Amino acid sequence: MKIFPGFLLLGLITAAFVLSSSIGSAQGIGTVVQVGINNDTYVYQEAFSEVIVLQRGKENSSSVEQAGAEHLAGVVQLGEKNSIEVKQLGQRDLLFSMQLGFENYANISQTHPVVAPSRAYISNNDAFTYQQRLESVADRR
Amino acid sequence: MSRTNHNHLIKMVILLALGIFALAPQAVLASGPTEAYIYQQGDHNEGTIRQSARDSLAMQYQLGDDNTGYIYQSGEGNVSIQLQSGQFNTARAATIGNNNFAIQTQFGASNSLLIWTKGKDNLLVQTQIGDDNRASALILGSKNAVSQNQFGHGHSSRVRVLGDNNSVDHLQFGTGTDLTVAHFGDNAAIGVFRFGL
Repeated sequence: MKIFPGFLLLGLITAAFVLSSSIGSAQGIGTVVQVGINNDTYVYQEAFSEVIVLQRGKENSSSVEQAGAEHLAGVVQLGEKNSIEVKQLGQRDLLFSMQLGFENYANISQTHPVVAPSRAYISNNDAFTYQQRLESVADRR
Repeated sequence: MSRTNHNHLIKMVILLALGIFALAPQAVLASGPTEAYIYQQGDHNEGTIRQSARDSLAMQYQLGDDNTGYIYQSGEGNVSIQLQSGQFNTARAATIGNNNFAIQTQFGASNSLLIWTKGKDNLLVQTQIGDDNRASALILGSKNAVSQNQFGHGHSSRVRVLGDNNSVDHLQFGTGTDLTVAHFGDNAAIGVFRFGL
């Protein structure tokens, strides 16, 4: 029983490094920061990519399209009347979005690409969406 | 096994695991990732980055309103940086090849910059401080260095280089000066200074 904490520590550290190495191995890294009114962002990435979008202001829109597998997308919007549209067209994708303000809109699609031979590419996707304040709409498919 | 030896074994295993997982990404990716960064503060700014190869870096900083930035990079090891502060500035940079470096800086209003490069190991620097300035550089070759600097109002600079290992340095002060350089060949050093009232 005394060796249990040692192996538990080993497991935790190993898990942490597995996660950090998988994120750090992205082939494409995109970061967008926008402060103001009526800004638009469009990001297109192919396999093994990650993107972070931060928008602060009103009437901003963020559109992310990720084709392939193993993407990471994070979109945060602070303000009113903002919109998020994310399409992750593959498997093992992860999305995290957050909207703080009134009348925000989020549309999240994790599906197969149009040219895929079947729906077998839909698997192991995760999406976490958070909206604060009223009259916000989140549409996740 | 004594307790000391057992603890030593656990530490060795942990270090081995950390080493394996820390080195794993570098082993998979011999070259670095492609990175794009856009920062915009203001209204109606537009930033576009298109990259289609590994180990490239593109950065755009836009402060003010109605600025436009465009970066296109095709090849490995390219770096393009755009800094815009003011209004209605436009900066465009297109790079085809490997290991090229371009930086464009604009402070003021209604300035315009253009870079088109095809080759490798080229260095391009464009700076505009003022209003209504225009500068463009078209490079076809390798190991060229081009610097275009405009301070004031209403300047115009055009650089065309076809060849390798050339150096062009433009410096414009004051108001309303024009410069045009078209060079075909290798190993040339061209420097121009103009001051307009």
